[in-house]
Amino acid sequence: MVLAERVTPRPEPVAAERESASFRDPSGFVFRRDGVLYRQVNRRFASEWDAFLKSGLYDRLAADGILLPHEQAPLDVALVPDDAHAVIKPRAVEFISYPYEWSFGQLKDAALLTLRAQALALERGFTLRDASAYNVQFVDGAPILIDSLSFEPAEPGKPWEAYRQFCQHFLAPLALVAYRDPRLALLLREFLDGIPLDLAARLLPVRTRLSVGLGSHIHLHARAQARSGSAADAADAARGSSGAQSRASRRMGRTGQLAILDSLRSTVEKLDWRPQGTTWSGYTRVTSYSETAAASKLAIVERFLGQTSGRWVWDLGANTGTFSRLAARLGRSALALDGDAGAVEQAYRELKRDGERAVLPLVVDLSSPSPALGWALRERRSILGRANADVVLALALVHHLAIGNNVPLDEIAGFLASLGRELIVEFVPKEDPMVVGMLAHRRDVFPDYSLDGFRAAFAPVFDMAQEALVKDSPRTLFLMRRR
Amino acid sequence: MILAYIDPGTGSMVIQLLLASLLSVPFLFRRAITRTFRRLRGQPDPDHTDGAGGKGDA
Repeated sequence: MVLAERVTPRPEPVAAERESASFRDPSGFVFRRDGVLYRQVNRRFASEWDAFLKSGLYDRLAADGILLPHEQAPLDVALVPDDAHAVIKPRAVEFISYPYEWSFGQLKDAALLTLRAQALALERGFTLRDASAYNVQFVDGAPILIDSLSFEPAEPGKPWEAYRQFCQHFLAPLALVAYRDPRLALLLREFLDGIPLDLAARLLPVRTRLSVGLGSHIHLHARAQARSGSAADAADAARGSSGAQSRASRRMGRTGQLAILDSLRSTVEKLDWRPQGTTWSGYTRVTSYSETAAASKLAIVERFLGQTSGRWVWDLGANTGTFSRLAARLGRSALALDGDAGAVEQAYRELKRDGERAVLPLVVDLSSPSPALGWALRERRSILGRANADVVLALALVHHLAIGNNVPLDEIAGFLASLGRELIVEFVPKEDPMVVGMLAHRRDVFPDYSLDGFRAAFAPVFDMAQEALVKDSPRTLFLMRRR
Repeated sequence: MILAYIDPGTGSMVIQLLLASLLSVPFLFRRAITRTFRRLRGQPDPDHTDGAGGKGDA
């Protein structure tokens, strides 16, 4: 057996592979060759693709920062050459995030971007074939459409085929957050094709039925879906008589299309949610430590960051992103992850206001981070499957996981090591007011939670490179390197 | 006829026809008012470059 194992050739690194999420659309797909991402345009989509480029719509969308720009690639890099009409090399998106990780403002900006794309397409006689929120990514702080194959010549008089998808992917979650609760945005994680409109209609307050926008695009829309999905209607359609199916093939004028699009835009624009009263939103202002301690912590983290290498910093439990922005000032790109939608929303608004483009804030609860989802669990990758961090920041985090969530310290060390090579981590001891508060009303079942216990748990996985005490506070910061 | 690769949903297509008939008149009315005001102020009409989803078209 040992011999057999020796002679068995090691699997070669795959030179070219189709992206696992790219299977739904027969007009083309995304693949990776030698680490470079390409998109193949299939022959069946040839005339639509050529018309799209020739119309000037692509140039306009790319110039306006609405669609990810691409270069033409040689046809011989195609993954399936027999079926290839063209191959393009889109500008790289370094980190793929998913709509269930976005804050309200991010989802809203992505929605408005999608509507703007459809408006520009209509002007030139084209239409957006799909309005999936997964076709939007955040690049340099702003949303951008990444699916170059989403545009095709419009058939005159036909309603918008992506209308249902737009309402499910964007309008329903935005309305639920604005009218009910920010946590309802997490329904997107369960319903990958957007929140079913009948469910959204049931969860929204009754008064939203009276609003022209939500009344039309969610409540009436959900009822129309229920009626057309009925058995009687299907029977009508089968007989070819006047059921919803035949009504659906009726034509609508251009003004009607523009009116619906305009109504969607104003409905989305009016939806608003301001974070208040959530767990952490006021956290940066109401901290348990003094200004001296805060300044000392910032200085130490800056010094430690200066001793790390690589561009990507993952700031775990980032709150409103203070340390992510520090990393950005030092020329790094940062992911600011926090489980609290309010903190992430505040971070996004501040970053947008200040034009800080190197930080991407995302709603990720580290005690149960984004899992792998979708078809064969390969369509949407888990947060670990997307880990690209060079440096991990875990500031004021370990006590939340260890005491707030009862995770053993060595488990935490292993998890942090799986994310990145270098780690800047803060230990908050039991005498710190934060931890005192956490233990005030429960039994202290954490005998190992001490500086020595922390060192012992992290030492098998990490080399301790530096440590420093935060002034005017019992906290300690460490710079560690994965063994 | 070009068919979508996603299911547009029969009900979703039908409701658009209904909404188009309800929303068109108010939409045209609003647009006419906006254009008139723009012309009175001597501002350019953004509709030629902007379309319905444009920021200035309300």
